Amino acid sequence: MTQQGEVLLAVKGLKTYFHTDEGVVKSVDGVTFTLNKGETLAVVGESGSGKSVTSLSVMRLIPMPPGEIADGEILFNDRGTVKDLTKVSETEMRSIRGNEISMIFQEPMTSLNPVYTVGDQIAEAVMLHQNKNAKEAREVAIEMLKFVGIPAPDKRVDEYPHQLSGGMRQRVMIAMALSCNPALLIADEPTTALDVTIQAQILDLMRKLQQEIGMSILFITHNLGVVAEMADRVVVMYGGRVMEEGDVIEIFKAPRHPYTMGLLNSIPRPLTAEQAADKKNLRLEAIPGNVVNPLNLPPGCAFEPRCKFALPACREVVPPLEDTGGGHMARCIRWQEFEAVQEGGGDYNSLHSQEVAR
Amino acid sequence: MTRMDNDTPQGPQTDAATRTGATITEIIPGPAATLTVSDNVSASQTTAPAPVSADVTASAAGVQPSGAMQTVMIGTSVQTGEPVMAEVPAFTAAGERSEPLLSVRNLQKHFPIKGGFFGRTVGSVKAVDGVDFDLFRGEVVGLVGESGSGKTTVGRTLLRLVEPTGGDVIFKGQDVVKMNKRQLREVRRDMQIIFQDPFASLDPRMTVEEVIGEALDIHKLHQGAERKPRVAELLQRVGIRPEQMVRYPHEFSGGQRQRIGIARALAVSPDFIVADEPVSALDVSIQAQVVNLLQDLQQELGLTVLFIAHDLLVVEYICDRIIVMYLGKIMEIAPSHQLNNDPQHPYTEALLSAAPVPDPTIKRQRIILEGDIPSPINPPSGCVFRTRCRYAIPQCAEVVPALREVKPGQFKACIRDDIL
Repeated sequence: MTQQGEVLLAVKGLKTYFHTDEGVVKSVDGVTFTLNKGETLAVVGESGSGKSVTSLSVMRLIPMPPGEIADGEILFNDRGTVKDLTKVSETEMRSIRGNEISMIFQEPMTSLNPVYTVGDQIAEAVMLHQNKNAKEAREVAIEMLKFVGIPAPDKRVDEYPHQLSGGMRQRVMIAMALSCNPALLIADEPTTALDVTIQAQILDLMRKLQQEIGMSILFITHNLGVVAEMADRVVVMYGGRVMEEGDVIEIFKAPRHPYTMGLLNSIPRPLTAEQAADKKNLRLEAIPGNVVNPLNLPPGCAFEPRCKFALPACREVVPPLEDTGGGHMARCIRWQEFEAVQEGGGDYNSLHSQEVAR
Repeated sequence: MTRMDNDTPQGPQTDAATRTGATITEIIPGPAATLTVSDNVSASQTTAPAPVSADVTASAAGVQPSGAMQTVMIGTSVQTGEPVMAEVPAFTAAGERSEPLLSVRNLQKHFPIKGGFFGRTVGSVKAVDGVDFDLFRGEVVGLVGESGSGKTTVGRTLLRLVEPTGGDVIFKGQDVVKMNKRQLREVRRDMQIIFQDPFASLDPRMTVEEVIGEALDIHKLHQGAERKPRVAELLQRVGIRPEQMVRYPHEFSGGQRQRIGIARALAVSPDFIVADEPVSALDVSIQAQVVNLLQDLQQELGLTVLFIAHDLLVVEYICDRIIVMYLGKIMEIAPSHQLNNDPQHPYTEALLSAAPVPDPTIKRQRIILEGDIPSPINPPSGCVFRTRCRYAIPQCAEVVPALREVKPGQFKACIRDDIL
């Protein structure tokens, strides 16, 4: 949060619940964050963290019932007028979707209609949102396919999704999403199903397009490598709550929440020559236990059962999301101690639960 | 693999060598000086006489070449099918090893494409097209590649879960490809597989005890009163409470199911395990647990593992050596740290460059490969990677590059020695 840009999206205390036979699933339980204009905000989390439900809530694509936006506000700055997306009518929401906020998904094959050509599908969005006739819309479709780097766009426009490769399909999805020049692009794991070389192409493309159009991106992912490459700021979610939020470099270099630390420690990094020579003794620092079940959240901190820094107090109440300085937020009662270690160059081991208990 | 060089025709060596001069100057265009040569090597180290070979020597940082030259096959001509030879510095094989546990020679799997009026075979998908490698006892070898590279097919043909259409798989001195059903069942006690998707690979109607016990029953191991304690022991070993053996797979999380899959593979005390993307479907925090478990078990039991994956960082972490595949062929084989830090094949270089690094302070210049993997039905002539390779030259279309040793223990299938 170096510069205070103009806010495009502000989610405040969002609660999205699902009423199931087994009880109420609090998939999103009081999520707050802001996204500035032109910025890329990555929402990171594992399965069940609520990251996808958060993005679907912003698009108002939650199936109701069983879903319900139980509480909170989603304030969207629609070219000067601030609208609460939880309250606008369905008609108005429909004009915002596609026009102002677009979304791309993980699996482009399931998001594209197999019986229409890709050109028809892009043109449909253009005709619907921009009052263009079929001929003009087709022109826009070809232009968009060219814009996202599809070779021979005037031929590809008449092809069906199955004739394209995974990477090309994701390019078509991006072309469709950007065809109406949205202010916000929500990308829900857009490269997870792709190979690394194709992922590199798509990430590169997204970065280029963002610079050209100046849109904001809400990037949902579980891949910390992708976060490091794409994000300006990061929201770390776990058990439906924001655990930490901050500038991407701060999150990676000075995490203030044990879950963020654990995630960063559990991914393998390039080995040094010494490590490579002595691999037998090398182990990843795994987080013990299983990912929290949103149906069965603990009363206190959702991460407490797996946290090596947990204290008895962590079990009692959900800790508040506190500003640790400069907009770096953390939901942990011990963030000051982590900060002290980071600044004093001390030792995290002295903060382990057993050590403290003694 | 080290024996590969010796397999090349030695008889007409002098003839070949004289011919080589011409071939190579044709192959390498332009002044070598304009091409990237590996840094941190002083010019004085490049003592080899031939200009092409000098580049090979120069890129071999940290290696002390003997200075002796040898003639090796760098590929086969697309037109004539004859070997193309070149002179490269001779290396003594790095660390002489014992007999390999598993040797794969010229392995092929061509899936037929049926078409036309009578459902005739009109073509074939060359999923695996001539793969050679060795696995030594106690070794963990990574097999990496993108989708369509054939890595999963290789893993399955080794156990004959997919029937190969050609080649040999020599396991403990016996050719698995030629075995009959009975012999195959016997050998599978020593060869097991862990699958990627822990949701699809466990029968939902069987309890964990039945899933693991089935493996024991098939091989008539630990029968009767011994069966339950054996299942309990296996579960304990992979970090599942033995009393949970009465439960069904759906009652477990993804990570736990993968542990059960591992226990099932270990039930028959195999020597060799194919781990087919065992952590790819798991959450980040669970992935590390399973990687650690696999490492513990491998060391404790002295297992030989073929670890199939697409994440090069995970692979470097647990593997001794890495095999890189592309479009059914091996591009490079090297010790894992060497591969990640000093790749010799352009595809490996691009693959490493494309992988995002979890450090926001590093802003790298990535090599973005253009286009997609070509169709394995009609792969490019010569080198299959040439259509996306930034170093490709016309000769790449004419020669199918052979896998040859370019540094101790490091093999590549690329005719150019002047690039990386």
